[in-house]
Amino acid sequence: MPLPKFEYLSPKSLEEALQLLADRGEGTHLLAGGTDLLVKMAHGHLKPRAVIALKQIDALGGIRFDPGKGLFIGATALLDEVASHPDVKAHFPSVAYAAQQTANVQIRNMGTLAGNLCNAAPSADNAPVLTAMGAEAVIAGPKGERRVALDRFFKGPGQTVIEPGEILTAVHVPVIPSGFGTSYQHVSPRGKVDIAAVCVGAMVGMDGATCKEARIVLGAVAPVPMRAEKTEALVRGKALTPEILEKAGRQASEEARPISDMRAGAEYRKRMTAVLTGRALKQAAEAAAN
Amino acid sequence: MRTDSRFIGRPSHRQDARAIVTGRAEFIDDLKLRGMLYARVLRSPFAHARVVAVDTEKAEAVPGVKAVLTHKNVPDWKAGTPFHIRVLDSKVRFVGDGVALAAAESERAAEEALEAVHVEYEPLEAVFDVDEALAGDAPQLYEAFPGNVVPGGFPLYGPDCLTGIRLGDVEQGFREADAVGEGTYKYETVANPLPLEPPGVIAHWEGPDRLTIWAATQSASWHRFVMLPSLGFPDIRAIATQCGGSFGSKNYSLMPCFYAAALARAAGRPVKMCFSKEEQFGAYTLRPGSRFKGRIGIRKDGTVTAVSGSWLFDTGACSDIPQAQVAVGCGELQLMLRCANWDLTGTIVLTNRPPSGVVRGFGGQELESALLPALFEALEKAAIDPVDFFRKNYVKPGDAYLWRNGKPYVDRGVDYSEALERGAETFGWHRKWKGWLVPTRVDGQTRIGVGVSVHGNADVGEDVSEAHVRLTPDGRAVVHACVSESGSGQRSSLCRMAPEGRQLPLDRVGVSPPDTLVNPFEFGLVGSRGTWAVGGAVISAAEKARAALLARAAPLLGAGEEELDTTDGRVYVRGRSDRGLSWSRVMGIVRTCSGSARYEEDFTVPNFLALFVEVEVDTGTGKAAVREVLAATDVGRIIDPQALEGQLRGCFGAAGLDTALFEETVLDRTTGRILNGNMIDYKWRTFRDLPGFRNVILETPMPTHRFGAVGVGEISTSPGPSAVLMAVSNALGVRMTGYPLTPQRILEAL
Repeated sequence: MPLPKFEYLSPKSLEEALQLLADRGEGTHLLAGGTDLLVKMAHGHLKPRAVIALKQIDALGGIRFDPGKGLFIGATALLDEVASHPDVKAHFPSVAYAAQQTANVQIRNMGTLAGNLCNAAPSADNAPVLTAMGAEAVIAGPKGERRVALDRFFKGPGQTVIEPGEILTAVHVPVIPSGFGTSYQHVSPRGKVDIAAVCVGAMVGMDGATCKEARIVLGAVAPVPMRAEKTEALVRGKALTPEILEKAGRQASEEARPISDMRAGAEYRKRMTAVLTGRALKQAAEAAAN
Repeated sequence: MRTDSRFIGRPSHRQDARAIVTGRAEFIDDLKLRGMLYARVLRSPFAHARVVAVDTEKAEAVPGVKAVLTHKNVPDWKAGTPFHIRVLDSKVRFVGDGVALAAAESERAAEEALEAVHVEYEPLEAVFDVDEALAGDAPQLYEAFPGNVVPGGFPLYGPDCLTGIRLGDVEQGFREADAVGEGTYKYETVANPLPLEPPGVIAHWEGPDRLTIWAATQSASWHRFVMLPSLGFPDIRAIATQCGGSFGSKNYSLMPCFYAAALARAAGRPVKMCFSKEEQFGAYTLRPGSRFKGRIGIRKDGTVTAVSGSWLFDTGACSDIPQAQVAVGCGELQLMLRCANWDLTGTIVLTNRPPSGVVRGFGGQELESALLPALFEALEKAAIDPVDFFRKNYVKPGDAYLWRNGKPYVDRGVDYSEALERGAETFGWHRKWKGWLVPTRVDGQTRIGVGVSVHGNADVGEDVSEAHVRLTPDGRAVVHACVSESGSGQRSSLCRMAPEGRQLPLDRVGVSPPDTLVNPFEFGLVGSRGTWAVGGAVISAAEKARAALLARAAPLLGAGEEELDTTDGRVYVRGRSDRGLSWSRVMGIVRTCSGSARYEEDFTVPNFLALFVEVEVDTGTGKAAVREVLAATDVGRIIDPQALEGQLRGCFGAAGLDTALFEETVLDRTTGRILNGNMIDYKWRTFRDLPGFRNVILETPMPTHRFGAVGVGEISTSPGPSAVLMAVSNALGVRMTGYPLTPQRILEAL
């Protein structure tokens, strides 16, 4: 199916991009990797008047790691770059793992992590663990830059806090404090290359066997990736015994609000929320110990 | 390594490999004829409805539109067995059934035209389940088929065509049984073969009764000789293009041919009809559904004493050649189950879902996947190791079986027990098998289990092939055989097998273009017949061509023909390579030496494949994954090791082994719509999901042709679903009875 006609713009700087976005107004879409946008256009679900490609803007590319400030993933950094970057693998292993688990080789070589977040699918592979780690979206707009923590970033399926005229320029991930560990768990009915039916990201801070801090984020079981706050409270201050992990799983499954669709039934999703929450907490605690 | 050939059994490039990977291979969608129009189809949103009114006035006015057809003005061509499929009908019988056709200067214009067609439907009650379709009050799909049952028996297979198996005395057989397996089992994932290239054809009328069809096809003759002559005109020329995979579904493309030919006739111009991926998903060819209700009795020593029951074959909304699939499926079942007492009846049932057709095999995978769960229950009760069972029961030289035409044949091939046993040893079966419903290993929430199943086919020698081989003075050979390239590399393999080919560099051996006008008769690449049947004709033709060459050379060299040999375009006295002449000296420049031969069908050498699988099941998530697969077979002689490897790995994908786990066409059983008709929601194994894969391939010479080989390609998928079912059952410790083994189903079983 041929694409409908649209204006293609390829600015060289962020300022130029923001100006074009303001000038063209409604019906203007941003293109990073294009793996979501172009599919929607090809299927006729989206008919942009103008498309602004961000790829030529050097400032939006690349991945930077600063031992003090943490990780900055540029808006046009490819999923594969995130998955294979030595600093990401060394210091943020679950971020690299989630990127590695996203879609397939071709998509990872074109698609971006920022785009995966902006597309705001409830099942987005990269959202849960980044949200659990307190990552924030760096957003540039006519009034300057603002930062929004990812647990307030998603508004609904396909919807984020990004306003018209704004561009997500980077994702910032804080340094994982000593004694903390992370995990990303997901399941889909097929094998490895599939949209997650349920996914869970977790970060826990351990003091010996006791969990002193926990952040748990559930994906694909609600309109947006959601914090399981009651589950977090349940495990806080407790030793992560098999019994507590099972209770935590049950609690997370009660907090989940899944729907039934092609990929899985709601009951299955609830059950998987329990299983994956337990596994995520266990793996994160093990990572914290290392 | 045997020394009678430089190429047999050794790796070399497929002749079309370079063109494919560099994008120069011409597929149907690349072809463009002068004045060619593009066709699109308006499809029914209802699973069952009467077309009450259809108005095409606005559609005809769309610029660029040259023909718009509805059921009121299409030619009265009919196909199917017996004839009942029309180009367009006044009734639609599945979501996606054709309602109107348009041909225009562009696909876009044709689509616009169809958007402007006004249709009024009178929706009718629809039926999606075979048992419901057979009920007295069920909606009826065709007046000609009361009760939604299509009569059995395929005319081409003669008056005794198998419609089931009836032999001996089953009541007596069950009295002799020590254990009986019994129940209703469904293999109804109706998976899609889904070759990468959707079906496509171009039709061009070169005269009022002369039609040329270019088609992406694995069997060009099906357009010229076998299936399409029902159109009612004498002269069809079929030209096969490079074919982007077929898996049985593109032997011929009935509806695309109908649509393109009807529109081309109406418009007076060539018409291209390439189905979209969505149409390939929802309006082309699905694997048949299969339901077995019955009983199997066995003795403690593994003797099968009786098989009885009903096999319901769900063909969807119309029937192409299901009778043939029922016949061959019944034949194939007898190769793996030796039994004296049978009462098995096949019934072909119509339902309001997209049609089924030929998909990776021909009835056997469908029948066995539904019937073997009943056998497994009996084996479990009698505590018989399935490897021991299959070793005892797989057909052996001297054993008799009924084949598709209802006639008995005696196996004169090889004993496959050794292939099975070598496979079992290499797989580690005797170590991993812990008994029925006992996992091989349990590690926390991970449970490992193993399974095995077998399949074989006596169609490897089916039907007729004719070939002609021509040797040219410049030291080349041309094989004239109407063989298309549908992905298996058979055109290249034929160059290896032509005896002069084996003594000529492969780049000096060519195959004629697959065009029915210029080639002798060739039935096509079906039933794994390419190696033996097609190869047999080509080998014989080449031997005759060689004999003609040597006969001319003998007086020139002052030697007897039997003393001569030829290599690399030169004839010489054997052992005296200095006493020789080039082919050009032997033939002169205005002559070729040629030979023709014909292969006649032979059902007496079955092939065989055993698949061993190891699965792991995560009892937390309910996910089952294949860890390892081992394929064991005996092919007589390996012709092309890479092509063979590819065939065996072909047990994955295209409606094969994974139909046991996730490969499934999901139908909404209230509306009849396919819910996963796209490449994201239709589950397919990807490269990242490939498990370990090993082969055990024996080469025991077969009484087939000069190289003693048989084909094995078609059967690589067939044992897969039942082997996986067995493995998952063993891993879980629970007898699983239905496909696909989804996480939900597995968690329910736990």
